[in-house]
Formats: sequence, structure tokens, C-alpha cells
Amino acid sequence: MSRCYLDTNFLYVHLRSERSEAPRPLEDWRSRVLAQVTVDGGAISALVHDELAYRLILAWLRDDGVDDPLSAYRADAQTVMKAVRRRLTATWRAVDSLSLELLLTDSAVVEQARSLMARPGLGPRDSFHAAHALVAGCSAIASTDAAFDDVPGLHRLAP
Amino acid sequence: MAAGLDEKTVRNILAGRATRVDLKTIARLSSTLEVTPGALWKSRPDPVEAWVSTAGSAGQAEPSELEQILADRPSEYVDSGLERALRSP
Repeated sequence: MSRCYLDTNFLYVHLRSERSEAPRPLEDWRSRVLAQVTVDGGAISALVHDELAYRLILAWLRDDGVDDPLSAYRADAQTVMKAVRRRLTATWRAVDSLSLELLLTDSAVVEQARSLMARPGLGPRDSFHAAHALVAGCSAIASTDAAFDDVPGLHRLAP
Repeated sequence: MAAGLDEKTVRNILAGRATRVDLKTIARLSSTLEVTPGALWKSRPDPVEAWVSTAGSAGQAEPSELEQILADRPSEYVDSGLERALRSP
């Protein structure tokens, strides 16, 4: 086993599902990933922070009864950010408590991402996630995204 | 030892094996190392405990929301990178 890169979708469903409320496939997935992460360590990148915040903000708007969260966000992002500030702060505290390694984006990551865009032809965002994992020596990625199955050297922990 | 402390005691403290350390020992260590007493502790949350306590901490998703993600079905939302990249200059 080795360190595992956590894709945004894993952290998102973890933070949005209490153990007693989670459907069985999610709980199985969470258990398998955590068995690896709590022993060998987990890692994320700034991309995960960005995507997590964005998805949570839209989800919280919907929780608050906003019919069209994306339009509300686009119309006045600053007001939305103020409205979710406390929840976002609590989320960062939760993420920090998980002691995940924050991987840096350096020239090696950019080079690796460019290479993955060329072959096997990953999309830009997926390429950057995979590049962070590979450069940091993570051999596993917890993700729902099947695109990572095409990345040599990366084993996907799927739901 | 510069602090006048037993070597075994210091080793136990550094290795995290010491369960009780008296105030005089703490004072001597912090004085010798020229740090505040708080700097002698590096507390890290238990990783398993942290994962348990953060589950669902960002609210409870609707079942359909979780199902969509688990099945890797496309979201109704454009992703955050695209949202910014596609904004008109």
C-alpha cells in the first residue's frame, strides 16, 4: 500500500454524509479508502480545495432553498461567499483535522500534467489531479472518475 | 544533561511515552530549550477519530445527490475551473 490522493468527489461525499445516513456503497467505499489513508497517509492539492469549496457552496445554497444555485452564485458571488463564510470556515477546520498532505504545484507537476494531456489524453483538470498524485509518489487515487483508470502507475479506489 | 534531568525521562517525553510529567520537569526543559512550555507538545488529532467526526460535517446531502456522484453522472453545474475560464474577459 502507499499514499492515496483524494479526489474532490471523495472528500465531498465524506463531508456531506453522516455515517448513519450514508448509502451502503458509499460507506463501503469510505471504509476501503480510510483503511489505506489512516495507515499510509492521504494527500490533496489546491485543486481539491477549489473544487470542494465551489461544490459545497452550490450545495449549501440548495440546502437553503435557492432554486438555481449556479445563477445565484453568478449573479453575486461576493454576497454568496459572505452568506456561507461560517460553514466554509468550519469545513476548512474539518479538512485540516484530517492531517492530509497538501501537495505543491511545481514545474514537475505541470510537466507531468502536460504529458498526461498528450497521452493517454486526459482532460486538463484530470491531468493536473493525476500529475499531483504521480509526482508525489501516490500509487492510489480515491475517485469516482473512471478517466484515472487510464493513467499508468495509478490505481483507482472506486466506489 | 544541561537541564539536570534523567536521560531516560527525557527520552520518554520525546518519544511520547511519558504519561505524567511534573511541572518542575516541564519548567527545566522549556528553560533549557528556551521555548515556551506549549512548544513541548505537538498534538495531532487521532486520524481515525478525525475521519469519524468530520463525516457529514458539511451538512447531509440528499440521497439523489450522493447517488449522482457515486455513479459519476455529470453534474448540472459547470466545474469550478471552467466556470472561471469561460467567464467573459
